[in-house]
Amino acid sequence: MDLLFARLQMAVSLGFHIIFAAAGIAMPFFMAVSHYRWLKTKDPLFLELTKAWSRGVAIFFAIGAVSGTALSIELGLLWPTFMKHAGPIIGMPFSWEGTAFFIEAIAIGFFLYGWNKVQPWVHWGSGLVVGLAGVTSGLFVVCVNGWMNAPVGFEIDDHGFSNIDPVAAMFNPAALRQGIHMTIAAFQAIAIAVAGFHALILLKRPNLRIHLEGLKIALLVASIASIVQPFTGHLIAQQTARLQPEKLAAMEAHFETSTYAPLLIGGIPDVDSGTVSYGIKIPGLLSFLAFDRPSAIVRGLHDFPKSNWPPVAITHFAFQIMVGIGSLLTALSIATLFILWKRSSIIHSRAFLIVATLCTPLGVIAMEAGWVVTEVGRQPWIIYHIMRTADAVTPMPGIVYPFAIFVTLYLSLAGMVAWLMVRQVRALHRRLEMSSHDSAEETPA
Amino acid sequence: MIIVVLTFLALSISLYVTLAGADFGAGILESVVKPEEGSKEADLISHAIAPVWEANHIWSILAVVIIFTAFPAVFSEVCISFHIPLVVMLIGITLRGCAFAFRHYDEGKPDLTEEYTWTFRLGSWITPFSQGVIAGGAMLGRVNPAAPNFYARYINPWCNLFSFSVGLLFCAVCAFLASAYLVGDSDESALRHDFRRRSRILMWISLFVGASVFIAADLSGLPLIPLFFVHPLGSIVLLLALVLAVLSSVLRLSSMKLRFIAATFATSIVFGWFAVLYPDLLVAAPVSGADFNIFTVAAAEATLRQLVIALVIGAALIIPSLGYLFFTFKRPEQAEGPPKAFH
Repeated sequence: MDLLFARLQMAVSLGFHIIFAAAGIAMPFFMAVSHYRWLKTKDPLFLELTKAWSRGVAIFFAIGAVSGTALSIELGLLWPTFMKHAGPIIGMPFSWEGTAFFIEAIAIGFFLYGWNKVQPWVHWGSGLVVGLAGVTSGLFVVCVNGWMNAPVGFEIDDHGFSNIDPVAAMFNPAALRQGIHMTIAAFQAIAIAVAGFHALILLKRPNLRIHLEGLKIALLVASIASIVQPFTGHLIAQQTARLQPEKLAAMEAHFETSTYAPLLIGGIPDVDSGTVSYGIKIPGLLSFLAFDRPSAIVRGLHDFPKSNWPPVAITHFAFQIMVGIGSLLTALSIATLFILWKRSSIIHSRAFLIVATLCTPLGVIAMEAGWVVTEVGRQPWIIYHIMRTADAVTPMPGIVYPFAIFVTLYLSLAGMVAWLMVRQVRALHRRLEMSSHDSAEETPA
Repeated sequence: MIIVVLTFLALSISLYVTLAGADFGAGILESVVKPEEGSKEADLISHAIAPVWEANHIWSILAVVIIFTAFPAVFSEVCISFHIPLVVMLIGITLRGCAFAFRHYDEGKPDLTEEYTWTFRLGSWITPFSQGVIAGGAMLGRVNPAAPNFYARYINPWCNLFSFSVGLLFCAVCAFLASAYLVGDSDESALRHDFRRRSRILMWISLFVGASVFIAADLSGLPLIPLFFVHPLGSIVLLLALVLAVLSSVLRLSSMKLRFIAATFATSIVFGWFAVLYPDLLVAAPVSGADFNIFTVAAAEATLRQLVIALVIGAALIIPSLGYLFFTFKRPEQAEGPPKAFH
C-alpha cells in the first residue's frame, strides 16, 4: 500500500508541476510576440495584452517554482534508494537544469519588474531569455527521465554502480526524442489552453480585440505544434519499440509476438486471458509504424515474464487517449492554419469559438496521458531492467498521510489558480472599460 | 575535489541563508511588527522582496542537487530520517511562495489580502524553522538507519530540544537579516531608524537564542563548544560571528556595510555548522554503525569532476546576472522609491 501511495504522490506532484512548468516554457514566447508588436507598432493593445499575460505567467511561474522544489525533495522522500544509487549519475543533467532554471528566474525578475528600468529592447530580450531558459531546463530534466528508460554510462555489480560516465548517461539514447516530444507538447498544451481561454471570453465579449489578438497568437502556435507533434511521437514510438519492447506491447495491448502485427484502435485488454475485446485492428500497421516494414516482428507481452509486464490497461488507455486527442487536434489545426492564412472571418464566428473553447483542456490531457504512458509503461522498473520501483521506495510507513497532504494542497492550489485567472480577466475588463483606448474596445468594422 | 564540492555546497547554503533567509525574515518581521496594510512600511517589506525572491530560493535547489549528486548516501538518509520535517518544510515553501505571488498579483473582490498575508507569514515561520530543525538534527547524532521502531527512526532524530532551538535560531537570524537589509531599502529616515533599531534588537535575540542552542546541546549530550574548537575553521567562525554581532549592534554603519556585516554574520554561522559536522555531513548514532564521512560516501571522481564543471560554468553565468538583477533593483538610493511592479 505504501508503494501505491508513493507512486500516486509522485504522479500527482509531477502531473501538477508539469502544467506550470509548461506554462513557463511556452508563454514567454507568446508574450515575446505581442511585446514585439507593441514595440514595433506602438499599438497599446499589444502592451495591454503582454502585461495581462505576464500577470498570469507570474502566478504560474511561482507555483511551478515551488512545486518543482517540492519534486526535487520528493525524489528523495519517496525513492531514497533510487537517489542513493542514481544520484551521482543523474546529478549532471539536474545541475544543468538548475542552472537554466536559475537564469530563467533571474530573467523573469527583470521582465516582470523592469518595465521602465532598462532599455526597451533589453527588457524584451529578458522575456525571450525566460522562454529559452525554460526550454533548456525542460530538455535537461527530460534527459534524466530518458536515462531511466535507457540507462547507460555505468557498470553494475552487487555493490551498485561503478565506472560512472555522467556525460554518456546524460546523452542517453532516449533523451533527444523524449526532449523534443515534450517540448512540443508543452507548447501545444499551453497554446491550446490559452486559445480556448480567449475564445471563451470572446464568446461573452465579442468586441474585445485584445482577446482576438491573443487568440490568434495562441492558435498559430497551437496549430503548428499539433501538426508537428505526431511526427515526434512517431519517432519516440519507433525508439520505444527497439529499446523498451514491453512498453510498446503494453501501449498497443499486443499480447502475441507476430509479423504483420495489427494496430489496435480502442479495445479493452484482458491481462489474464491475453486478449482484447472490442477495438479495431488494422492489419500490418503496427509492424509498419514500429519498424517501417509490415513483415517486421513485433514482440508481444507473452514474450516476456509476467513479472516484468507494465500495467497493460492503464498504459493502453492512456496511449489511446493521447493519440486520439492528438489526431483530432492535428485535423483541427490543419483547418485552423488554413483559416488564419486566408484571414477568414470564420475565426470570429461563434461556431469556431465554441470549438476552440471545447478544445481548451485537450492539450493538457494529452500531455498528462503521454506521461502516464511512459511512466506506467516503464513499470515495474524505476530504472529499466536495472532497479525495480518496489526496491527504490522509502522504508517509511504511512505514506498515505503525506500523499493526502500533497493532494489536498495541490487540488486547493489548482482551484485557487483557476479562480484567480477569472479575477484577472474581470480586472482586465474593468481596466479596459475605464481607459480611453478605443482600439482595445472595438473590432474594426 | 571533495573539498571543492563541499565548499560549493557551503557557499550555496550560505547564499540561500543570506538571501532567501532574508525573504523569510521579511515575513517573520511582518508577523511581529504587523505594519498597517498599505502603510509605507508594509509596502517596503513586500516590494523589497518582490523582484528577487524567485531567484533567491533557487540556491536551495542547487544545494539539494549537490548533495544528492556528490553525497547520495547522505541525501538518502536525510530523506528517510527527516521525512516528516521535510514535508513540513515543503508545505511552508509552497504556501509561502504561492501566497506571496497571489498577494502581489490578485485583484478584485472579495479582497483576499488578509488571507494571503497570514498564509505568507505562517509559511515564513515554518519553513526556516523546519530547516533549522533538520540542520540541528543532522549534528545531534540520533540518526539511526538500524533503528528498531518508528519513533527511533523517524521522530527521535529531529523532535528534540536541541533541534528546535536551532530552528528558532534560524528564524531569529532570518528576521535579523531582513531588518538589516531593509535599512538600505527604505528612503525615509524614520523607516531607516526603525529598521536599525529592530536589527539591533534582533541581533540580541539571535545571540540569546544562540546561547540557548549551546545550553540545549549540553542538555542533549552534544559537546558543541569543544566540537567548534576541533577544527580551526570552527574557532574562527565562532569568533567572527561574535565580533560581527557586537559590531553591528554597537556601531552606526552605513546601510551597505550593515548588509555586508549581517550577511557575513549569517555565513559564519553556516560555516560554523559545517565545521562542527566535519568530516561528516550527517552524524549517525554510534550504535547504528553508519558512517557519513564525506571521504567515504562521496561519489566517484568522474561525477565530482562533472559536477564542479557544471557549478563553475553555472556560477559564471548566474553570478553576473544575479548581480545585475540586484544592481537594477536594489541600489541604495532610489529616487523613485521601492520598485513597484506594474499593476
